[in-house]
Amino acid sequence: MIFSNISYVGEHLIYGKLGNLALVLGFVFALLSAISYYLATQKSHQPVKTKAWKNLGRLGFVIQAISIFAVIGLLFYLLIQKHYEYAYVYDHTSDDLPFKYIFSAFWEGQEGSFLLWAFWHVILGLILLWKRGEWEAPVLAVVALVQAFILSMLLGVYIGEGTDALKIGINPFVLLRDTVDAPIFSNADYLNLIEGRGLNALLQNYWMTIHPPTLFLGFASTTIPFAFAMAGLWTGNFKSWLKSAFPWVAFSAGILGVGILMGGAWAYEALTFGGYWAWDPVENMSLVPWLMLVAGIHAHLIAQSTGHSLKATFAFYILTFFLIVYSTFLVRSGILEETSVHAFVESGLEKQLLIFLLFFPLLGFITYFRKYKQIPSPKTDEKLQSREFWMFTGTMVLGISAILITFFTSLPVLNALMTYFDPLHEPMVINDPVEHYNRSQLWIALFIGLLSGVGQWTRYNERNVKLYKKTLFRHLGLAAVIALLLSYISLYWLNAVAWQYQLLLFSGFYAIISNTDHFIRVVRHYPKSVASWFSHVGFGIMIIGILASGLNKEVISTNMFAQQGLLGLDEETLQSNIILLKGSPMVMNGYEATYVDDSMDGFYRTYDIRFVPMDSTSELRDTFTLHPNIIYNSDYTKVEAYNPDTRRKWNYDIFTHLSGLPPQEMNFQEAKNIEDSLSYTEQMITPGDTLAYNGSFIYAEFTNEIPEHDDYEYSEGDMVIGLNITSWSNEFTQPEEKTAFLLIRDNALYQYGAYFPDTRMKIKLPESFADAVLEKSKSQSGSTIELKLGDSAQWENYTVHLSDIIQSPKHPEYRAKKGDVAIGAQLNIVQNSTETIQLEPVFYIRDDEINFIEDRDTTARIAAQLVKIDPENSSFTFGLSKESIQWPDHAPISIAENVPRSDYLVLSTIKFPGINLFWIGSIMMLLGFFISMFFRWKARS
Amino acid sequence: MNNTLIAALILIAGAISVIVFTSNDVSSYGTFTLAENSGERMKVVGQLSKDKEMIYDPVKDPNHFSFYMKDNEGREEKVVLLQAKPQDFELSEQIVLTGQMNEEGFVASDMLMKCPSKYNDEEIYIRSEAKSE
Repeated sequence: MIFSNISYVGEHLIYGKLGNLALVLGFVFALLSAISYYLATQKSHQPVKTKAWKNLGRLGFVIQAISIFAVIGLLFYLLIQKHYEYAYVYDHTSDDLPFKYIFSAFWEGQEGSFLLWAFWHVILGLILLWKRGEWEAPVLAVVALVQAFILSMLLGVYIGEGTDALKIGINPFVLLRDTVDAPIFSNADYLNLIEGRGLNALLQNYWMTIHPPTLFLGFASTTIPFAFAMAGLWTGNFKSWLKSAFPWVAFSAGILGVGILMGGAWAYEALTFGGYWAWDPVENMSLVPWLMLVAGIHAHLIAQSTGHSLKATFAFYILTFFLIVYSTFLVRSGILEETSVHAFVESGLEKQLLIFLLFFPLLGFITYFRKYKQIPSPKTDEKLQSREFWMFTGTMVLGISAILITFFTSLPVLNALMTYFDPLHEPMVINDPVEHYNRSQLWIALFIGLLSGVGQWTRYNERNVKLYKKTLFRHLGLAAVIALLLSYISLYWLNAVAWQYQLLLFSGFYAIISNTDHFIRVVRHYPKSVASWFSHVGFGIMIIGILASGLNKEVISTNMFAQQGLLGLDEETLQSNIILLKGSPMVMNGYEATYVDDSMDGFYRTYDIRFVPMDSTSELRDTFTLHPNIIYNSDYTKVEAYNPDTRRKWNYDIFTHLSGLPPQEMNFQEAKNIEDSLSYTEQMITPGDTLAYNGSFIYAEFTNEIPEHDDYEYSEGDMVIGLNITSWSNEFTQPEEKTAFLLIRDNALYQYGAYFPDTRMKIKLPESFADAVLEKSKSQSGSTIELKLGDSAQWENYTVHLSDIIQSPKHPEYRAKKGDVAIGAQLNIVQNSTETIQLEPVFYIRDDEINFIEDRDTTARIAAQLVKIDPENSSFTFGLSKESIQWPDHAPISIAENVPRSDYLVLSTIKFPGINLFWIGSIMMLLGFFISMFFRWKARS
Repeated sequence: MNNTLIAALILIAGAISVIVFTSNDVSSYGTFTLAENSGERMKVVGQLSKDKEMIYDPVKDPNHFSFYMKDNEGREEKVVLLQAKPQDFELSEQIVLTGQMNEEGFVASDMLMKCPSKYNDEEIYIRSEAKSE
């Protein structure tokens, strides 16, 4: 369907056009900047030409920067204004999305996250440009080229015609009506009818506001070490770039690490798998470039101090960038769809991503191998006692770790390749990724811990170790003894049975002790060493934190009476969920938990779960309440996400989330099905007396007070008639008291039932209940008056005035039908000349039958009916009544039995001891990189 | 031979042995028949039999969810998942189970589901106010 001849109403096409113009400008000027900077570098022997080309490169880069800012600004504007004519806006926002999540919405899609990446290239590039360092031209040539590739992903242009057309990029300014075929677009005013799909509920979390920008800054920042390495190879100044590049590399390692860690924090806070790291392919592929970069930074330090490892430094930085691009390819091409929970689906970018993936590594490695022979390296070998030897071994360990993780994460790619050559190839998968990676990466962490301890005590270019030998061995030995002792002591607390874990524990302690010892010794002469102390000690603490929170993890929500022994599967999976009935305490592992209450706020339903420690020594103040919640979708028909809640203590976390709810609470349809399947029996009840009903007892009393009910909120003018019902099954059970009522609001009747979980009964008040109560009340004070149009009359202490007669009445209960003769009368009723009550009763004749519709004011409790029209005298007779509630002696109720329970939740609670060691350790480790950046930045200028 | 080269060779040997030692972690997807014959724990892929009954009664046991699945060979089996029933289970297009066969059926301790992405359906969301008019 193409509705090309329609002129649509309310679209804002100008923003999209401007956006596309800016995108094209950005792309063209990024390319222009790359070429100019390239020529500026190539012509470095001709200073005049170089200067001209450099200026052109700068100009290009700045115009590109302005264009990108414009694109981002326009897209934000469209998202904030909710212009749903744009597909990106439609897909990622909705009317009810709070403003604070607009950022998350911006980078939820591929387009927005590419823009984020491009944005950071702009910022980093502008800093390089502004600094005007000697490496500006060659480095920015590479950065601008990478930028051009990224911007090409956003162009959204077609080359060629028809279905064979080659699509380049996915454009953020595509119109919804150009992407989706739907009959609604035949309506010129379709914008008034549609509403956005909204943001994935899992991303409605504050971490999602800061994690993606940080991670993409990390991604973008790896371009700089790559660009410096390329510049070094290209210009033949193989060593002098090291000094200028170092602060950038340290920054990159720090910020990429922070980005990854924030992802872990988000997973821990928003997801329910219970942990910060799941070895998910997407997580792995963000970790491996970081490992490679950290390897590179160590090689870089060796090269700067000794000249060794220079070749490796180049290789590591090229590989880092390769892994960044490869990671982008894996995550965005759709190839990980089966193995990862958070990869993007296919988007048509695969080929373009593949070109991106092949181009830069090829460019990098071809340059590298062509220049390989020229890269200087010392003739001498690294001595066993030298620091360069131990540090380089460490970089190799990190590199191997990255390669192993990449290899196993790439199984889906290998499968795709194998299937290409052999269609019968059986796809290979890792059976238990977490166990697999934990087992293999344990060795890496172990070596890194030990090497970081030994490496510190050795010295660069050590020729004569004899003088130093005694000190060296004394310190290394002492650290080993203390670490051994500490490991041994902590085994009383730490549940590390396997010797591999005990070794890793030792390695963690060793890193902490040895590095601290070294730091104390050298800090006076060499304050810079604070950076390496932070990183290495942080690493050691992190390792201990990982071991503690992983090995001592304890499932709290286990039920001692659960069935066991099924196939010898680990007990943990068997029993990690427990059921809590509302209000009744449940004994779990060490705690007594009670589902106290739940409350709705917008789309969120928050549960209060109280935990009382069972330990006899604990005091009352140790009691705590956790509030896990669920998020409903925009029409409350189903649950979109479960959010955990965590109690944080200094030495442990208690992590809890809901793993299930009654079907009727999760899904509106299910609730309706269950309600429909109930069979209600009508019973007469005499309030004040006890009714025995099928083994249960019911006692009721009339009420017209505004009741408390989960689904009811008071609004002015509401009238309530109902019963306070008490029900119990026998004399030993606690009676439950609830209110079932009918609400009269704006002349419509609403039913609110009462559910009794103990007797599994649901009691509703039928419409006949209202009749019984209201009929009885009305008959008390009814009277009729006759009025002509414009006349007034007295009725009790009211003045009743007939102000108008209308032909098409608007009463909500009146549904017009063809052939009706209908008349509505407008009455103004004034009491003591204060407030005017307007009523509009309806009189109509349908199929030769006379019908009346009463109109009622629920606040003043006055009802009016037009009962007779006298055409000869043109007079109208009204029945007026004042309702004062008169309770009848008997009233009908509807009872359903065996109602499925809706007052429970399924809970999963896990205790993570020592998890703060993990956070503190990783933060310290990353802080080390920033401290190092700070020192080197100062030293540089 | 220089020291670095020796270290590199040792590390490469280490890496290879890690690959060898963990090669059992990697396998192709199994089937119900394979799981029955070998009695081993494995991963089985298949589709949910949507017409068969699914039972999850948390009041009785919150860690017991049973349903029927058809594996890639077309064999249908009762599956017992020792977990709570996951969200959106009915919508799953593909299921990957980890577990083993016994008398009760295939008892799985872990499950991955592939669900249709919310961005795949080409349906336009109409404003709720507009709908009711």
